[in-house]
Amino acid sequence: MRKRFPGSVVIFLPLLVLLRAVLAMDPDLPPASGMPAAIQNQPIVVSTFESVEMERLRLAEENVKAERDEIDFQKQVATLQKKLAEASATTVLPESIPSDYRSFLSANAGHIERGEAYYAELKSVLNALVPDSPYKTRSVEDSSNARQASEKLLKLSSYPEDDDICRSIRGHISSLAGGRVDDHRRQLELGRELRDFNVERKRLEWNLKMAYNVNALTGETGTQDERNFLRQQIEDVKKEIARVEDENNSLSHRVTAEVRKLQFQQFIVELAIQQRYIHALIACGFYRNSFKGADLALSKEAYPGGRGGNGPEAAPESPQPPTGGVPAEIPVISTITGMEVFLLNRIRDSVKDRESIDNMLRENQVAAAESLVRKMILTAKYQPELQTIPYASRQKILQGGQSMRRLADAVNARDYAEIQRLVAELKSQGADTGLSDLKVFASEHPRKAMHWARQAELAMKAGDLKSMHSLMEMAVGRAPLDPDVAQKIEDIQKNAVGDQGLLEELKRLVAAGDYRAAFDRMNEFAPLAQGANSDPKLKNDYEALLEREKNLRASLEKSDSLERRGAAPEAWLELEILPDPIANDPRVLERKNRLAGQCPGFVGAHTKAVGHERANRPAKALAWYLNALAESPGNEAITAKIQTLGGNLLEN
Amino acid sequence: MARSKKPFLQKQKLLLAGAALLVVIGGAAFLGLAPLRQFSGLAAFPVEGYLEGNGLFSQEDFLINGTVENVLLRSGGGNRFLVSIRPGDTGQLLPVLVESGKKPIQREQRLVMKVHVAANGGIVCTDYDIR
Repeated sequence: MRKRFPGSVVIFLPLLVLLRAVLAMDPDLPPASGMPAAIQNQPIVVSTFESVEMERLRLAEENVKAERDEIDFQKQVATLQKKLAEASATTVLPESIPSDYRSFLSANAGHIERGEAYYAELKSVLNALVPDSPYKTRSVEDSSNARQASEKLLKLSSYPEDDDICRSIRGHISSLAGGRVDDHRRQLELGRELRDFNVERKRLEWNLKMAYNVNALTGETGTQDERNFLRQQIEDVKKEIARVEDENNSLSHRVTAEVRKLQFQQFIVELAIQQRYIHALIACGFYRNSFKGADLALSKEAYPGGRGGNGPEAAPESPQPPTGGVPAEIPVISTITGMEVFLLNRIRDSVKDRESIDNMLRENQVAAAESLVRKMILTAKYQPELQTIPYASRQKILQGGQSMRRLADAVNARDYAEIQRLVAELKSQGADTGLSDLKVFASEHPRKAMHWARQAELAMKAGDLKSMHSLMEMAVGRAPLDPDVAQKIEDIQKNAVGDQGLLEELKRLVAAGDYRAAFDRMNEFAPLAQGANSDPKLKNDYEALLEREKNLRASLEKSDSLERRGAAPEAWLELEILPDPIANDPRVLERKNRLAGQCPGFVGAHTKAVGHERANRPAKALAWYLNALAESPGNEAITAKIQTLGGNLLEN
Repeated sequence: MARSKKPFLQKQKLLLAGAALLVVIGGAAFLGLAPLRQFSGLAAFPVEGYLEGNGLFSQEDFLINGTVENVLLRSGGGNRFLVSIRPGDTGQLLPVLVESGKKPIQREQRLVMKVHVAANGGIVCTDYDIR
């Protein structure tokens, strides 16, 4: 047993020490009653005015940061809007979207089916007329059939999609061929009118002549008024005759073949400009069928003021530039072939574009498909490839565009929840638009808005109302639809209103000198007092109250510590020497009474000593201090008093 | 038979011893009460009256017979002391300024002091004797 004992001590003693150390570290455990607390004026950790001032400076920095961030945010929004606008034309304002584009996307299925039938007919006309038609399979006969094509043109006129283009083509073909049937009828009518007008003119001229002669029956001549009236009538008839003659001369079959060719080519160009490439190509086909193997070879008769070529062979080898009044050599104009190449290329491009659109829609690349559709509407508006895009595809493009539009609206409205939802929706649909930046945008800014709201709350607590309002505005502007931010702002506003009442309470409390309440509610009052820059007295008074309570608490704590050590006189004396306002604090009086019960002799002697000292009776004060020291041997404060008073007595 | 002289001698011896004892006791008593006899005629210092009263005493001398509680202070020359005295059986302490230290004063010494109250209210000892 004796041998095992030291070993046990070695093991358990460190464990005991360790346990005590752990217990001492645990703040929740009460201090051991046997362990005297350190006697010192322990600092009380409170938020000082210096820390509040630091907070105000930090908030000012936050404010500046928020303003800079707002500029960056605006740039970010502008970039996103630009990107969304590029991704879909429907993101821009509805007023600025071409109405034909909107009506194209919203066309109903029946119209599209009818359009398909029309364009099928139109393609058959083209196939019948143009051997190089892009719609023609090579197995079909490659010779053109103008008669068949012309007959089909008649059928096309009944479609509303045709807009009477085919009728116009037929009319121009008639003009090109040397006159329309109705031109002859009109010519007969005009001839009849011309005869009638001439007869009328002769009659009036006769009457005018007779107006100067003496009437055999009456023996009088016509009056001047009658003659003037007849002259006016003659002038009117002459004008009518001139009009009829002009119209007669303007009839198509009466103009030269060159002019008719020019007029027809002009018509082809007009069709091409209208983007009616198939119609233009059909017109070219009819042109070629009307003048076999020929381009537009103008003769000099086509240019009354000069001379033209008479076919390709008539082209001058070295055309001279026009000089002065001498007519220039007109080159042979060969436009039909070039026009045909252009038209065929446009049609082939349209075919390729349509294939691309179908592929894109199949792969859910809606934004790209929409972009291509927009391009086709601008460059090949009346192409069957565009006009026969199925209803479902159009709706898909429209809905894709609408999603982009809603996304743009959500970015404009800072509706981050909606952005998140739409991004998720588009992503699930496999949209081809890059959405990661939008996702980051939608997740970053609500967080920032909440950050500004929290800073606004801190500004309110620090009494910096200007920063508070600025930061709140920033937070609301950043996320106006975020419910969390809205709730936070509402709370801040409520508290800010409550602060007015709190300020009044602070003033009342400072006026009453209620240092205990000032200290207990320091977290509420300190920012307010610091914020009351216009009232420095309030701030100073509040600081004084805080100091008072801190001193009182420190004395009470020290007194408690002394009492725990059994030094009741010292504990009583610690409270006795407190300055006036806090010396009468109920907490102090209550403790002093309790302590006085533990050392009545000391308290009595000290009280009398102080009384004599105040009454300038130092010897008697010294006597009572001696008696007090006898009750509390070694009391430093009493010893000091004795030293002072005794020294004075000894010297005097 | 003749009586022995021894008892007579014994009585004489006893008487002599008793007388000597009386002389010794008397001397001791004389010597012990010498200080008291020195300040005889002085009234005892009214401790309670001094401590509780507010007025000043006259220049009348008083007698304090008490024990030195502590030597509080000394003047530069060493001739003036400030001591705290516990007079007689009272539990109170009094500060007494000893003007001329003819004999060294130590704690726990019993002193008989001739004192008066000075103008500033202090108790000044003009003479003292160690008992």
